[in-house]
Amino acid sequence: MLAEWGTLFLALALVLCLSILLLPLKYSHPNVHLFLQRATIAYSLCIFLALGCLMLAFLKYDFTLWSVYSNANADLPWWYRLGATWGHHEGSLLLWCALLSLWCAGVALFPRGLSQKTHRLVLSCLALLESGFLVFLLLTSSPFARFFPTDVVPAQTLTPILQDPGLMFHPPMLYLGYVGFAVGFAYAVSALIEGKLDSSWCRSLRVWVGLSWAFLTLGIVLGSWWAYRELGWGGWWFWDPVENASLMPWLCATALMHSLIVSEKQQAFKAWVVTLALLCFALSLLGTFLVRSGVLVSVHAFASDPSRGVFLLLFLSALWVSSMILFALRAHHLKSKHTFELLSRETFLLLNSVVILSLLATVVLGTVYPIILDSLHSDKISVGMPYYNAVFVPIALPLLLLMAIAPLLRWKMQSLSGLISKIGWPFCCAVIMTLIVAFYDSQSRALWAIASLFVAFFIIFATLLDLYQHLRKHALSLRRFAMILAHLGIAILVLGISINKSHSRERQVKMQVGQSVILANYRFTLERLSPIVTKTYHGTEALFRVDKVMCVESARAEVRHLGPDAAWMRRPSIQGCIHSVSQGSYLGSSAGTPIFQRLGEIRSINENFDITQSQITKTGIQMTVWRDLYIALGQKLDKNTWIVRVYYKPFVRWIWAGGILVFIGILLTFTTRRKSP
Amino acid sequence: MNIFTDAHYQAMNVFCPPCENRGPVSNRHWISAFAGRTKKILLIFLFLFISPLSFAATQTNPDVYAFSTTTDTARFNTLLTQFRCLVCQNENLADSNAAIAADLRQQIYQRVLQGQSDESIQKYLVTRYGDYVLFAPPFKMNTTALWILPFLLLTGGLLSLGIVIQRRRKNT
Amino acid sequence: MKTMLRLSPILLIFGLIAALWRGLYSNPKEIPSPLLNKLTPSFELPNLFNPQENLNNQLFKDKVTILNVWASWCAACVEEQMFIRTIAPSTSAQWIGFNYKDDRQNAMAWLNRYGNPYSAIAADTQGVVALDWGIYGTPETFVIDRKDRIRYKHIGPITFADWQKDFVPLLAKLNGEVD
Repeated sequence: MLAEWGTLFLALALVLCLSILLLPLKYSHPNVHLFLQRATIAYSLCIFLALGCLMLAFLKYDFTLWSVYSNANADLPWWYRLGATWGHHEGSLLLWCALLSLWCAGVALFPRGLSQKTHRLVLSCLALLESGFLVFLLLTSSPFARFFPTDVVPAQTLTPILQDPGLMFHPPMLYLGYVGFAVGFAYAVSALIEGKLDSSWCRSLRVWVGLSWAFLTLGIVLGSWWAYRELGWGGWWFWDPVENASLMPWLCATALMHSLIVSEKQQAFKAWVVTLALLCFALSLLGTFLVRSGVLVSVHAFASDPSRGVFLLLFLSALWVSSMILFALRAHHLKSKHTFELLSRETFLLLNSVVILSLLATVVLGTVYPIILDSLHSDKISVGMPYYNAVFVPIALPLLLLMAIAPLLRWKMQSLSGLISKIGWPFCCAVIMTLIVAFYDSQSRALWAIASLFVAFFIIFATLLDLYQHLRKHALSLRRFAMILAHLGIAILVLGISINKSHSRERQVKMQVGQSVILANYRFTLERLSPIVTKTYHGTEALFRVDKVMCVESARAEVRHLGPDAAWMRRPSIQGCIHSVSQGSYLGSSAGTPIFQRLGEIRSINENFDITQSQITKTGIQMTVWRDLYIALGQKLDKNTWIVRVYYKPFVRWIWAGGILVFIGILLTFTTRRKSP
Repeated sequence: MNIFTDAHYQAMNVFCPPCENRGPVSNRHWISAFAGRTKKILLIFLFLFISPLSFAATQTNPDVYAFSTTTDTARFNTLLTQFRCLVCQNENLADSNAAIAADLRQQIYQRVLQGQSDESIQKYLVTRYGDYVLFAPPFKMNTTALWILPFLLLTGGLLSLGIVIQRRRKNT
Repeated sequence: MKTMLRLSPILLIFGLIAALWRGLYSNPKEIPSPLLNKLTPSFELPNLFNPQENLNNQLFKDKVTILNVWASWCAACVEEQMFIRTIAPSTSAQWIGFNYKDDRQNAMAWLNRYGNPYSAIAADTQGVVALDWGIYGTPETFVIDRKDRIRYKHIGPITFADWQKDFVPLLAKLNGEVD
């Protein structure tokens, strides 16, 4: 019965959406507005009930449902079954619809100073989007499709790589952000139709887009952390089209939020803000299409049925084209007469938009270009990390410079001498810091490393100076503090990326029990291998003991005895270690020797999933603020020997810490209730 | 490889009991733990157990892809990230479990050992699998837009921004 | 005029949509071979049935050849083998097998079970020669002309439709070509 209830709820939600669309816009009885609000909340409730039905079906092992049959197994623990609700195409689309309706209900409940007419326009537009996705869900990918198996025991299960706590949090967070841009889209459409855009509109939009921006940030951070733990190769960002799909709207939202600041305070850039709001959701749709249509994987894997892709493509092209036509026809109503000088915060915020859009173009091109070339039968190409390193990074670094300077500028006009006096100190400090690091650390001397370290330091010093000046004047608003936090977050992220890239070490070794390997200044010893059998997999758990290697001054004398591993002794980290120990000068006369200090244990499991016949490595990670030690137990070579990959990942936590700081910063901007002018 | 016996480990842990299982301790902390009377014990232990002889134990290099120089190691690792695993969704040769990726890794390893240049290794792959294996597509007629467009957009954006600002200035 | 200017990006959007549309119908896993219309990569592999004997490019001399890459561990190959078995006798070309990264015993058992349409089978146990041929999975099929050039590469199992559409006309053309 559950499945029928689910379908029924979805159908009911669709009917409610359509009823909203059928209401004439001109008819302005107060009850109409009330109906709109209540109908929105009602369809949202219906979709969540449908999602609840699917969850229950997974919890109760309703194997007559195709989605349950193909994605769950009797041995899967309940929390993974809950996660499996959205661990496949149909379920994740249902989640998408549910979260979209959540935003709709939010907009319905909190008009936030919108006029009744604008509010109605926004709600109708959202209902249009929701109904489009509901039709897609019901027609092409119903999660409640029945399936009557001949054998009752399912032969499939949730993809092992998804059997991880990350599945519980990452997709909902990411989708919550992704989908929220629909609100921005609806706002933009309403502004275009009405031909006006005031500051309460901006304030209200800033909250909705900002919230989705925050959740998307968190979603991306969680996704990156999940990939790092789960894929077992020590990487945290792969420029995969699926990742790019979430990065594209994020970049656009970043430009939008910064432009909104100007629109709200100075009544400027109106048409620009509308463009970005439209683009943001257009990119969300493009991302959904790329991930959900199967254009990236073979259609043959989807049993030669591109109907999903065709529907999604039709829907998104209708939205793209209609919003563009609307924009072309109506944008001239959104004139702004604001004036400002070349050197002003406005200019810098516009510059921000321009540079971010170029970054966006890089990501979009990198993701879509292979598809375009292939469709022209021109060539098959791949676009990955080296491309983005060559194009994305050189454009991103100047953007970070702008980021350090812009908050220090005045609105409308800023004198050059004032600017120089403001950024002079941070600039000099950043130069000195970078020089110090480059002097002492030979690995940070690559051009990109120096450049990224410099911008990170520059942002940190400039932002801290800003913080200090505001504190001294007792003029630090919470909103300013939030901005400072978010910018510091980006600086920490850049610092983390840069140091992680230049200082990471890895080794792939053949190991037997009792053997050890030295990486950076750590030693990993394989102490024990023990079999593990659970309901879902059988595998081998390897227990590694980790020691930190310390050195005394004359250790170099021993290098020749160390065999092929001696290279580590010449590494700067060890040299630094030798140096610092020698500072104590208490062992000056003894023979140089490495000393091992026990740090703890790391466990890594190699899991074999019988049902899907796949092998997964559960990585073992020992983390501190400064570095991660990361071990992945690879494949078995012979009876006693295993391939083991060990990684030394310095500052990797800073990347996610920076991301979380950005998330907190964005959230903080909404805690203040703005005084109405 | 295991140059210390269990007795050594135990001896080490006697030195620094508070450090055990607590994550890394900064060098200064470590030094202070050794200060005072432990210093003498340390010296004795050092000479007793960690004599140069213990290093003499020979061992074979455990690395799956062993190189004699660190430059070769670095070159090999960078090369692997430049090429795509053909059968994978979007993985490079370094990060792939696929069998074909392992075969190609082996080929690249052999070629780096032979001292072949990056270009010739790239050529080896491209003549067999086409440009598809390259994660940075070569600059050709049909990839011009891919490489140029972002920078073109940036310059175009900056130019139009200049025009906008000219218009928006008070004194014009 | 201004409105027209504003509408111009729509053309771009239509282009993108058209590309995405066609992208839906193409297989991203099918990588075109750069070896097309080039001489076959030279190789030297043992005969599966007689490991002492070595097979090499002489196999293709003066004959139109279909080289089929298969392995006993490959599930899709079974289905394909059923089809090849039915058409091989009437094909105007010789069928050569390329046994990819396989165990000899398993491979022979597999042939016993599903039939052997090949006139000779080269065994590449290490998968090294396969790299020279740009092989990246099983099954794959090459069509080689009398002058030892690769004229066509098919990726994935050959179906009846593929056979009719791609193979039959090509074989007719190759057989018609005069030296």
